[in-house]
Amino acid sequence: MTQTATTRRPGKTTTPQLRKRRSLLRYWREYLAISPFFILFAAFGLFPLLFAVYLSMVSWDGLGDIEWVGPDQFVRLFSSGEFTHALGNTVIIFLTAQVPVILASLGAAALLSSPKLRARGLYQTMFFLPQVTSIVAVAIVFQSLFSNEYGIINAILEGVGLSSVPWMTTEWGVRLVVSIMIFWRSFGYFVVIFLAGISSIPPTLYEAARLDGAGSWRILRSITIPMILPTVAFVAVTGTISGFQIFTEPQVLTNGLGGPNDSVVTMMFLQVRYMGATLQTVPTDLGFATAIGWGIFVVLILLAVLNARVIAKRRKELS
Amino acid sequence: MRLPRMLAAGAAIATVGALAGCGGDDQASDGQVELTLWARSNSVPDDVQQLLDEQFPDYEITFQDIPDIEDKLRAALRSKSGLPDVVVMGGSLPSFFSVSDQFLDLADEAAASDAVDWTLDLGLTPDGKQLTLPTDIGPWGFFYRADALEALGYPTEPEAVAAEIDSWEAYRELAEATAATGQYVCDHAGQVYQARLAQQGYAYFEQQDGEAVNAVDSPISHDAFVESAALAQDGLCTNTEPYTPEWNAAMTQEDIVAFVGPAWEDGLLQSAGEQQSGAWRVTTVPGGPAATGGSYVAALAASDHPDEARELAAFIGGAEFQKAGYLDKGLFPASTGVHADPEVATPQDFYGGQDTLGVLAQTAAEAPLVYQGPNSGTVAAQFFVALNDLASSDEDPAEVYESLLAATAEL
Amino acid sequence: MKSRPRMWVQHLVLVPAAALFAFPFYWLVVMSTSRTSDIFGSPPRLIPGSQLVANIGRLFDSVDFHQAFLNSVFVSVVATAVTVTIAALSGFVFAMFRFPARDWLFAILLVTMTLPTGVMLVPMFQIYVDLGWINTYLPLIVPGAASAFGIFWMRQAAREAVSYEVIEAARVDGAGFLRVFWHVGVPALRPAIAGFTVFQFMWNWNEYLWPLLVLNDSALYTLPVALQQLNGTHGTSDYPVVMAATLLATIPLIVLFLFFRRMVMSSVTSGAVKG
Repeated sequence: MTQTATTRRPGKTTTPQLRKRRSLLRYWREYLAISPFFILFAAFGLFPLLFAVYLSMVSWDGLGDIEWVGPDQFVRLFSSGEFTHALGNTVIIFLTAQVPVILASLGAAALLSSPKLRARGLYQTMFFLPQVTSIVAVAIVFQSLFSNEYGIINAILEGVGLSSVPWMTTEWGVRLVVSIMIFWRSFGYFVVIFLAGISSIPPTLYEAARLDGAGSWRILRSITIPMILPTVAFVAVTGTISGFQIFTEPQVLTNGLGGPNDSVVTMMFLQVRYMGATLQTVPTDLGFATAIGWGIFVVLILLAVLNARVIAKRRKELS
Repeated sequence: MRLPRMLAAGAAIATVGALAGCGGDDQASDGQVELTLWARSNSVPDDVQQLLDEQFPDYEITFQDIPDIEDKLRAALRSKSGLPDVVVMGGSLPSFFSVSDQFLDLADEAAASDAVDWTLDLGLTPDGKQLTLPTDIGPWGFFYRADALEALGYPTEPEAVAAEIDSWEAYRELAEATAATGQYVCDHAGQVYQARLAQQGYAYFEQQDGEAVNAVDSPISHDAFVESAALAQDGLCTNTEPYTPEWNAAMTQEDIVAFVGPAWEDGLLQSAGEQQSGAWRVTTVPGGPAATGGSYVAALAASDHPDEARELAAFIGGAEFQKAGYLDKGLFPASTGVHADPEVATPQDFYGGQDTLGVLAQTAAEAPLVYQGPNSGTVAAQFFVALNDLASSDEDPAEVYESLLAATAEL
Repeated sequence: MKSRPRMWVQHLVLVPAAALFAFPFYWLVVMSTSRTSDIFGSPPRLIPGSQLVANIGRLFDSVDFHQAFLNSVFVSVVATAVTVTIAALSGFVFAMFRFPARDWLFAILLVTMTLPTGVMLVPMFQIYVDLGWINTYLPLIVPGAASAFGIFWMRQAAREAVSYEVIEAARVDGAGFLRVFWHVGVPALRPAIAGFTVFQFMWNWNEYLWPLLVLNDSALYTLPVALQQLNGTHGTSDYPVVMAATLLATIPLIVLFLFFRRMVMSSVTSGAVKG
């Protein structure tokens, strides 16, 4: 068990092929350690993936006969306008909710990790509460807050002499409420991830910086962020993926209706619709739903490449 | 460690056909008939297990309480495995017609049933197979507060109200009179629209030679749509959808003093309108009786004991079971025997001593059959969403109607 | 002394923010202690009522809450323990060891996070049927045991918190593969492991669709499925009972968070490892 990863000493008399096999065998522990993911993916992911390729070329209501339609579903994806509309909605919600919440939670994590802050644990817990509050309860609370006629917010606005806002019946009103709901729900989640990253920064670095008279902003920029860059990259990638797959909040907030003119129907929301949601405004078509899934996949891959480039560039700038 | 499991998995996949054929655990060793029943607990009487054990002492019946049962049933039908013997389900029946071969024909049981005729016809596939029997149904009622109508100078007794507000024009007049006092007799334009279609027996499709033919463009839908939208746009509705917090708020704050809705909204009303107990009444919907289906019982062809499964389905779709369901949970019975049962037709305190079963049973008996095509639910949802959006916009309902026609022409 | 007024400013921001974040949870408490007519009154009552016991009583009458709670605890604990262990080990190895095709394998892992999983429902169900896993907890534990998200997180955390020098030093001391992971990796990854454990437990705890589809026997139901039994075909009419149920179901998650919170913030241990 003393073999190390860095010392490689291939046998002198072996053929190149054998040498290669042997050197791979030498890493059996590493491969074994990462094998569960790949084994489970092969067992439970590959066949469904192939099935998803097949499904995107058929039309199927999920129960009756399967009809082969070839590339029609992808033609429909680009020509019907539904998908592009949903893509636009997703981008808007991503920019107005996901991006701000990530930036704000980074700042909050820096603030909450300050050892001098009193009642730190209480704040952390309160910010985390939305994460554990069931979405059913959250939907009821938000509908009760932002209802046009029966909402508490409009009651307050009218109480102080302002006019009420048609939150749920205008495109931008309902988008704003969805964004607030996403911000509110995921803030504590990102705070926890950033806090976990900040915890690994040696406190001595901060002490040294403070002795040098550095302010909070400077400490955040020149110590915290550079030291947790891997965590920032992680949040950027997973936050983008989850941000582009958002659908729970708009779905529950609008009772599955999608808001005026489908203004909060995201790509995932659209997919769920075609998979046979409770309120069926479209005929169930698992084929088209799958094509939407592939559409989301392509968008995400493009974004991931972009993300990786930006991160790499920033890392270069910072170092 | 993982390899044997993988091998086992492979073996399992290879032999699945054989396994499915055996039916495995359904056969008890002592030859006793075992039956599995799937149902939502809210769709059956409280002590369902006891009821079944008493009725069928020779069978071993397992009741499984399944929420969101239609999703689960679809998954099981798709893989043709793990199916129960008998299932109680709700939702859109035509979506199951394409797999009618996986269900048993309940024609004999339907012939012996005392359920209202149209409720049986809902479970009839285009090729004449009796897929389901009704367990509970949704006759629509005009729910109103007697005190609110009295204040407006209207009559308060159900029959007099039905005679006075006998048309949608009369309903609109009432809506205008109540809105002037800051209260509403319309919760959502979509509800009025739905009632108007149902009372004409219309659901966007017509059956011709066993095929569902698109009939979305119809004066029934056009007039109902435009006039319902006008109710909302003229500020005569609270624009709150039932089963939402807003609806509860509108009810609790006494903004809604009347509404049209199916019988199952009784539970919702009694919960939200708790403090208005005794003031509510129910009568016939303006413009004539309207009704929609509720829940249904079906037996699966995969059952090892088809005869016994049919027997169980017949009992669940029968009078005794429905009577218990009505008394326990207010599930409105399809059985005419229960409608006539003096033990059931009793004065209700919440409705000021009115026998609500009587008026709704009459509606159920007189309502027309609404033929549902496979896409009826989809078109209905689109019109409902459009009405919801129209309530707060100044778009012309007639134009929106035209655009909906275009969107649904291909269905 | 300079920091005194600054701290005041921080609290000035944090107190209202925390109140906003906690309000919906507070309202959940209010709703679960009220009657339907109290919840939706105008103005809404903002102080807890006295109906909690009655609401919980109605809940226990209609749902086998205790059994479902125990089932959820079992499934969530097992599934979370397996997932976190695999993620920590795999992530640590991805970050700290060099081996052929490592970066390619990792890229594949990342790509799987973006695959259209929503539509995989149909084939996955078929696989579980063929494996004979219907009406067992295996579909809730095994397929998700290796989380790409978790492995990615642990890899990033290891890159931050562990230096190659420490690993080399440990190896020179004769520490084996698993010993290096246990004595260097796990302590350094503690904050990330704690955070991931909380999330993973929460996700397992709230999982609804798969338990609904694969479990037939009500005695095996997890909490989300059992609580869904409170609803009828058309939705909820008894809000207070649903809210009381939600509140009870949330308590374990809060306890877990409070328990692991300190670990998320344990900068002392990892600071020492960073060497």
